[in-house]
Amino acid sequence: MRLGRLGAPLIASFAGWTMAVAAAAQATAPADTTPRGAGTAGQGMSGMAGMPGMSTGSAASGAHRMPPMPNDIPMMPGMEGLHPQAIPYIAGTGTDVSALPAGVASTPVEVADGDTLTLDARLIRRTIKGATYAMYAFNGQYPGPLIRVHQNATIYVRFTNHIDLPSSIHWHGVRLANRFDGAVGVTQDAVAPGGTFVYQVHFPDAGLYWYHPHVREDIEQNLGLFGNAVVTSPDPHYYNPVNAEAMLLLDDLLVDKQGIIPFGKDAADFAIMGRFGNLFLVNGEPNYHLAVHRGDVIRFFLTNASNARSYNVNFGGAPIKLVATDLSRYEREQMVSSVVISPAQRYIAEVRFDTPGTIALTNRVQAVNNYAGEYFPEVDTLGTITVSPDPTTADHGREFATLRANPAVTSDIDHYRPMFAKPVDHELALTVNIQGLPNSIVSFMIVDTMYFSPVEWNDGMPDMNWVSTAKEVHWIMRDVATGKENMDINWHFKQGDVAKIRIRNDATSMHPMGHPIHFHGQRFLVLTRDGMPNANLAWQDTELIPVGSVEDLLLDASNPGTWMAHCHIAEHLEAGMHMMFTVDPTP
Amino acid sequence: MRLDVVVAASAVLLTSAAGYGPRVRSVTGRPAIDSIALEATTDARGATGVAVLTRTPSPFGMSLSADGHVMYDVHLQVSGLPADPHVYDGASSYVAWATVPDLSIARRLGPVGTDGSAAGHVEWNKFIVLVTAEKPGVAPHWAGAILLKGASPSTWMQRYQSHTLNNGGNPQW
Repeated sequence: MRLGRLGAPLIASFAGWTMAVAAAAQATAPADTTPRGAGTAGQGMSGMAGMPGMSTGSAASGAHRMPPMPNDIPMMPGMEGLHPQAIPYIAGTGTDVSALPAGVASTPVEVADGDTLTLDARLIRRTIKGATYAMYAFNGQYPGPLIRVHQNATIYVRFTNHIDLPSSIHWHGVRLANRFDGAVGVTQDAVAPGGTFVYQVHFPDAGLYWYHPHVREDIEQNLGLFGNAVVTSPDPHYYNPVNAEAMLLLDDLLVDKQGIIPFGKDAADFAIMGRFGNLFLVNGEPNYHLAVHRGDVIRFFLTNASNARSYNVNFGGAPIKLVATDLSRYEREQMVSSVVISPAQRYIAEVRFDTPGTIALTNRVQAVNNYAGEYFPEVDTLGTITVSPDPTTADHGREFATLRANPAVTSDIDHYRPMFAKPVDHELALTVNIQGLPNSIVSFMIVDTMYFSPVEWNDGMPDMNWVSTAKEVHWIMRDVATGKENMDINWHFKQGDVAKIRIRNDATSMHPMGHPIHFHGQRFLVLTRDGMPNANLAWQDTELIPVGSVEDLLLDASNPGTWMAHCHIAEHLEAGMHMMFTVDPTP
Repeated sequence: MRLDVVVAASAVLLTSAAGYGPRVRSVTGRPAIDSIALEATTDARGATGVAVLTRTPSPFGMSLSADGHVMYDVHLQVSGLPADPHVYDGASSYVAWATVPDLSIARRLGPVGTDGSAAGHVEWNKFIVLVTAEKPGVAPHWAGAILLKGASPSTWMQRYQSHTLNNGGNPQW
């Protein structure tokens, strides 16, 4: 095992860049260190303390606390006294947080074929914007180590679980051997506290991947158990020449002045929409910063590790060239105005910075205020990029201006093109069943159902969302042909089958929502979206299905085993939205 | 474009409290989220139409503008308008428009063809689709008679109290 190096020319080494970012973040921390909305209860919050059932205790006590209401969104009537019907859980309760080891920034590690990497999940202390939290980390790093491997390498990962919850590691997007997929309940038992599991991870595809637990992701992933794996191609021209590469691992935490908003221990809370955070982190830092020269082209590796939030990432208007997604490059590179990325998705994009100055890396969405029935522009600053007036030392402007076609990608896909017109093999309907929520919430939801945005870009009703748990909210993947739901579904394919999967996101349910659907261990093409052919294909493992939409996926069922498919909103997964499929090996 | 479904659904209309006109209604009574029933004004009795919203193609599936607006392609199909638009104060063509609810901004979607179709692009949160009779020229805002109108499904999202009132209940405060 060796300390890593980046595959592309760099402004500085990755380790140096990481340290520089950390230092810059410290130096540029703004005077206002309060997360958006933290501790700023909406007008409806007034007078809540002491109300029956409404706990206002400290983080150490583990009592429920209502999430901060975003500005201008008041608490809905009838919410007084309500809290999730789940046991509150806060990591590190009862421990002296100050005595925990301090988390450190992610360090790249290059793992050679056959080598073993140790990943220990532990409780750590994180100080973010002046507030201290007990969180989790792999090897004390937040995010976990950046694993760099060569395509077709097989590595071993010795995972030891030192946290107080059962855990595992799922190698998201990697077409590895089934028993090492980390899907608790399907491919392995959970690794109990104190336990160890050795994963054999084979990386057949170049690209960007990530790893995270596959049990109670809503807690464990949210608290920091995730990291990236970059798989490099042997082809030195696989990507375009750039001046540097940079990781953008996006995450959001939900905090108030007392700490992280407690989780539900026996059932996930925020089960309707998932947990939207109010503290934005890039590579674990609240003040991401990158310094570049004028004219530099930077290749960004974007991963969305948030529980529920989809982002619309802007680079201050700098031109963006989209190069690749989950498991492959696109057939053709194309320019985009922003990068829309849903939970678990990855994109590789190159950005050219021509104008000196400081630009904001932002998430720009049209958020919804459900109380007012209005949209409002939400701009979340994720970090800053400083473009120095000094010109780049190696001008890649000509290559950046050229949109490459990738014949190797097209040639690979051509093998599957004859199957594009085949009949649908399986159809899934995505819907929800909600029972047992308080009447005050149900009555509001009934009137709120008059319209749903295709994708929820924010939590416009955090108080109601918070109260809902996996005990009342049952997210459903329904096999249209059989009527079977969730884990009662187990489709069977033969290894080498190519299956057309139609997914329909029911717009008529009690609370439709966009779902990022992930298939384990395989790859798929998105053939059509609402009947419109996808003109620029790439291999994916996760696709966002907006409300009311119908999409056809072509699943390359090439990797034998029994696998999971599910929504990657962590709380939806915990609320039942997962199923199985089996690829039977060919003799 | 699932026009067949939308046209079938457009037989069931619902008048909104906001007064924008009828909506295509889903089986649950909720407006369909991908289409707009176009209601004739008194100047075009008997005319009808529908505007279908499709996601503008994007590598991300969801097509967003840089500032986060969902980008829609709008496909109109109208019928029942007089064959000769000249009857409307000397107009020469029918034109489809999009505008925001307070009408402060207008976007010309395009002319209505002889087959009753028109198409354009919208990236607003809440908007209204209009068909007007226009004199020659490409003006940035409509000037002729408004013949058909319909509001985007997102306009159904209203203040909580308004919903309660509109649904026959008493606002809670």
